[in-house]
Amino acid sequence: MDVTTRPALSDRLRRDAYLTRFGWHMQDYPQREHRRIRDDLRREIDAAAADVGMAAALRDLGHPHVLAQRYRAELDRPVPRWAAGGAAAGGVVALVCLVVMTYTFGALDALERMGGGRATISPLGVTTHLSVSHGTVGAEWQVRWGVVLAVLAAAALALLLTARVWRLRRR
Amino acid sequence: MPTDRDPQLLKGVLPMLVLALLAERESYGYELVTRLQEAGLAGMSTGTVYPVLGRLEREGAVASRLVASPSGPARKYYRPTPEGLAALAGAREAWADLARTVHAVLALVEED
Repeated sequence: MDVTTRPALSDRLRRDAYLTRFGWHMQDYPQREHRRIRDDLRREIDAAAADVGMAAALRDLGHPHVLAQRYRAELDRPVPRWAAGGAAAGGVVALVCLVVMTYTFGALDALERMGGGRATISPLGVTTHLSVSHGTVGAEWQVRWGVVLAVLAAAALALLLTARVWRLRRR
Repeated sequence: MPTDRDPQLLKGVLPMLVLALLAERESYGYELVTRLQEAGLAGMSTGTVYPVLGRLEREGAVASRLVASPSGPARKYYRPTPEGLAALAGAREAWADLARTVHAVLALVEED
């Protein structure tokens, strides 16, 4: 049997906004169970709202972050933190890019102060050809596969460690 | 009766209380919360009960069915499974044993 009465549009928007915030805090939760919980929550919120109103129904659930923590506590097993792992992996790649770019711009600046010319540098193994002449600056990067693989390996390591991937073994 | 209960005290027995109330009569989530409140747990909230209910369903201790409601959307009614009733019996026994022990220890200390 399906839902017979829908809440008003404004109530649905408030409910969905709450569930979106809740979903953000549940992104590391096993996906299939998360979907089931979200569907159950939507149904329970609608049922409670029919009794006491949407504002009270959402207020009684508490902050979405706290509710997500309670669901995680009931999981009885730690789960990998893939979102945090992804952020760490992205951070490693961003850090490498930042170092290379900082080094490149610093070298270009030095070259310009010296009156221009050409130079080749290798920050973090990334071969960078620089040229400065008559107010024009240029930079060209050559990245070897070894460097790409090393960065990817570092990012993968950051992902696995930060996500605490060993938690998969406890399932 | 104290009004401010230690949440940690309640945490351990909440699944048992949920199973007990559902064994008496099947309920949907919000109704179950109001029944807990009426039973004396005035501070009980949906945010505390729903995760417990979800775990009991995941573990097969409660089953559910959707029932149309004249006053709103369809509601998901929960009831204990045979496994849930067995778990309830075990929890009741464990609680009685713990309560006996706690009372015996507290009896050693004279109340002010």
